[in-house]
Amino acid sequence: MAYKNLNVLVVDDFSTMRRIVRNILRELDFKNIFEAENGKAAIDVLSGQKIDLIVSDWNMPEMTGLDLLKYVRSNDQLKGLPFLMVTAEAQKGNIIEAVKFKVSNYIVKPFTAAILAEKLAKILPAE
Amino acid sequence: MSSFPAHPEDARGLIETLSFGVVAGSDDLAGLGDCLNLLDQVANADPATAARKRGSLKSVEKIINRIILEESPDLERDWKTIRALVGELVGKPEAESVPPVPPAAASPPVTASPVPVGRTREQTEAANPATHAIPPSGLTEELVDPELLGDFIEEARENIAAIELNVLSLENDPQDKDAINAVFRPFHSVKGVSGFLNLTDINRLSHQVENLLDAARADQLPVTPALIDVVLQATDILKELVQQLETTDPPARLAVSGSALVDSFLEKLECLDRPQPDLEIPAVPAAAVSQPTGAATATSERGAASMPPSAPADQGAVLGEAIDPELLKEFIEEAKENLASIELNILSLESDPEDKDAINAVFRPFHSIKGVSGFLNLTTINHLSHQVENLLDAARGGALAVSDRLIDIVLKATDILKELLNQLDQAPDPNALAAADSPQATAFLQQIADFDRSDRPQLVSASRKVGEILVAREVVPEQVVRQAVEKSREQQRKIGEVLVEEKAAPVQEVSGALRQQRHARESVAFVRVATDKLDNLVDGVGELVIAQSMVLQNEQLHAVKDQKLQKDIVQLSRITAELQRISMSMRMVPIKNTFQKLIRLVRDLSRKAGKEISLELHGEDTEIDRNMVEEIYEPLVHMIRNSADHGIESPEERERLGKPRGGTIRLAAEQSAGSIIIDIQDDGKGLDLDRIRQRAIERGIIPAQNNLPESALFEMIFHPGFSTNEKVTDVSGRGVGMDVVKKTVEQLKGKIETASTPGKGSHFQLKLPLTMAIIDGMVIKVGEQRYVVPTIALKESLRPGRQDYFTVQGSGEMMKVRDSLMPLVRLHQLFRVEPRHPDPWEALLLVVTEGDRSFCLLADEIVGRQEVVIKGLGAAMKDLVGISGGAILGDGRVALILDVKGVVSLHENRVA
Repeated sequence: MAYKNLNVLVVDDFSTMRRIVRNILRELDFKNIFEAENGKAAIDVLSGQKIDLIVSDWNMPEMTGLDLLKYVRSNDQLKGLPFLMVTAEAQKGNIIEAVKFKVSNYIVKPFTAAILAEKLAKILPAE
Repeated sequence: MSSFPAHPEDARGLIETLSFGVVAGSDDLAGLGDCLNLLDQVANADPATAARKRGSLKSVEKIINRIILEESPDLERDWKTIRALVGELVGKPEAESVPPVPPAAASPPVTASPVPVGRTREQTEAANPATHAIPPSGLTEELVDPELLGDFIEEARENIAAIELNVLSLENDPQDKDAINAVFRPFHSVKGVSGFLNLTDINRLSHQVENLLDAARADQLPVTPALIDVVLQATDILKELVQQLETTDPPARLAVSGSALVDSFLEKLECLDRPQPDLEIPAVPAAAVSQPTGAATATSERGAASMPPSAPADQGAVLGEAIDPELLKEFIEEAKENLASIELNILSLESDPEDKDAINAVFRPFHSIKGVSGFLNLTTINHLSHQVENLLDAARGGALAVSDRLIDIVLKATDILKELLNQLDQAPDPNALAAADSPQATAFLQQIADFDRSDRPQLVSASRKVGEILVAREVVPEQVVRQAVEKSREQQRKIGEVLVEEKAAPVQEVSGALRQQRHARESVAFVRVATDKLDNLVDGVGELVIAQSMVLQNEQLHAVKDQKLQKDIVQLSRITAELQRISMSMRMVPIKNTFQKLIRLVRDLSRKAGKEISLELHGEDTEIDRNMVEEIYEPLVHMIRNSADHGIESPEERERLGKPRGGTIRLAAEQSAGSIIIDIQDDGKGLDLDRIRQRAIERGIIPAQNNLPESALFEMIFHPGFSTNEKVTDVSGRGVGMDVVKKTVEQLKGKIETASTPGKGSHFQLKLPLTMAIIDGMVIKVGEQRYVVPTIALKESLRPGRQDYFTVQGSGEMMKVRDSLMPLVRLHQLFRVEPRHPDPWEALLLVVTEGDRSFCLLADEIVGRQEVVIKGLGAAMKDLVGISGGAILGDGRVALILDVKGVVSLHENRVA
């Protein structure tokens, strides 16, 4: 895959979850993985670091994934950034709201590397 | 048909987006999002028309939603329905304006893997041969015969009425096979016809209920109240769906869908205990009832090539390999931290069940734990957290009330999860344990499944207000509002929605009323204030009251004979009195929260001790100073522990004694004459007097030869280090407890009384002042000094005769009051002041009680009874015996507040 040089930002308040997502991304050969524990922290990372893909949880304290999405989509520099929302089966219904705010795609927990790869193929520009 | 909407470019945009393949199948979320936004724009551009077309717009939205969620049973049919509906909305016949299959060339690819709408059929079929099994539905494109539909609606109504009637007789006699049949039959016929008419949701719903009833008919499923509830709920939803069907525009009928309602109901159904696995029928697409090869099969076929993202958490993608120990360790630690935060947040939830932030804060840890445990293959933890998450999600969404029961379940889940995590932490091979079952968790999952989810938050009061506003504005007659309130309660919907839908009120008016209601709500909003600020305010008001009386008692002021001044003084006094009342009330809180925390304690205690104990609560609304509420919690815990551990017997023992197996602890609060009375009563074996006597002698608290009356023996249990329980249990019997209780109560200027009947139980009564900031006292004078005697300790005051004075060898001076002798306490001696009248018969006596003994305090004069604000004496004087504080009196002078217990002990030391 040609993704390996992309900078990915993983946003989740649960550090174990970040680690799991990071491991799966590593399986897919991603090398440059950044982490943030909520939307606010993610914005901090975004302000100092070029990011090519965001994989964000929905429900986080301080600032939710949806609010992060809104921020990204309303920011001129960031608005085209591929944004993958991570959600749980029971909360899938919320995705409609995220779709209205132009989320690139969503993925339901728990997922495997194969599913993530499939989703990424849909939202990352072909190289 | 009128042209719609008012801004044709929106509609055209919608049409074009939808029809000409800009939306490239379900992968093009951005395109679908645009469609949803366009729908919103259309609705906002012309609300009145949008309200009229609500059914169609909603249907389009619902279909788009299910495409996004990959829940569409048949993508192609959904697209066609959308186009038909949109065509209808703009007033053009669908067939002419929209090519049924847009040429593939006309669809600009917008995603990396474009799937133009027009090609979905071939593609879907190629990828998924199962779709061939769906009989080509003749009803897909042409509209359902309106007459047929009308007949169905009529018939469905009759069937619903029949169900309701027969369910009642089934409830009376669950064995009545005829009644089961009579309930089964209508569902069966509704299912049949709705399948034929493509009414998917009605079909799914009635099919599931039919299955349940079929099982009941065959004696495979008992007819329980829970089952009857399910049937009744299904009937309600069915009613709603049929109602929708009747009020929706014809083209929308195809897609009439109460999906959300049906889905949540079917989900609930899955949570019920189902003895047979085959009751779970996959969502059956219309007209394919007899051939269950629809969506579910399609999904699994697709899943064979690549795991579908919508695979259920518990059977879906899990990491097949062994668990990384480091990851597991991190998870255990993080999960524990998260669980600890739950108990904290539960407390704020308990005080304000509507606090959405608090619900979310409790929800989030379960959600995160569920997510990670799914990855780590920790099945039990995953199931458990998932179930609790579902409950909390319902609470978050307003479908379930945050009741005490719910909170209990959440707390218990927290405990079990902690336990499971501990096991995981200590297990030598976590991989073996990960999938293992915990009997405790299994039992608990059952408990969650049995959880009554019908407990909904009250919407009615809020609804009525919107209705009232509309009535007041003369928009809607009262009668209509009343019906709508009824309906909104039945359907758990907002009254505004009901009114708009029934065209009883225009949208603008309803939103206006909502706005007004919001303003009203904001005006009664709460402000969080730090308690020390509140305390300062109360103190400040106390000072103000005192300063005022100082001014008013000034003799110079009395000399002024001005009517206006007099009037103003009265006014001032009224305001300060009101201010004092308000500031005091601000610190009062109901004792409820404290009491409710004890419910869990009792539950835990009875489980640990193997007893069956229930806690009865009375007078939970009694208000008490919030500073005091915190102080009395620990004493109550101690006393309840004692009752549960020492008082109440084991179920077997109780049975042998002819008592009910379960013991009861009764906790009651009431306000009475300026005090709060708290009773803790149990129906256990009572205090064991012989044992207490024996133990007190062993401990050297009392001499071996003694004649102590019962009441004095009861007092022994409050002695530090006294415990009659030989075995130190997990629950109590550590020898700490009752002495701490007594000390705390005394610090609060309260009293504790004990009573006990052998074999019948014990009874503790706490008598506490209403507030710790102010006490009701009698101001007395000894020489030139003033003291305040708390009225809680004061029995009477009298002027004795000379003949009432005695000197008893070894006991010092005594006074005879109504035939009983009481020790005379010379306050002037204790506090070294010069009295005006050293002889009792020239002075005054105040009879006070301490424990069950009475004493006579010698004073020169009673100044009067008044409420005084207690001021601490500062750290330097905090160990002063006999004085509990100071108070500033009306004339600006300081008086000391007597601590009767301290005074008595000072006196006894002196005599001894």
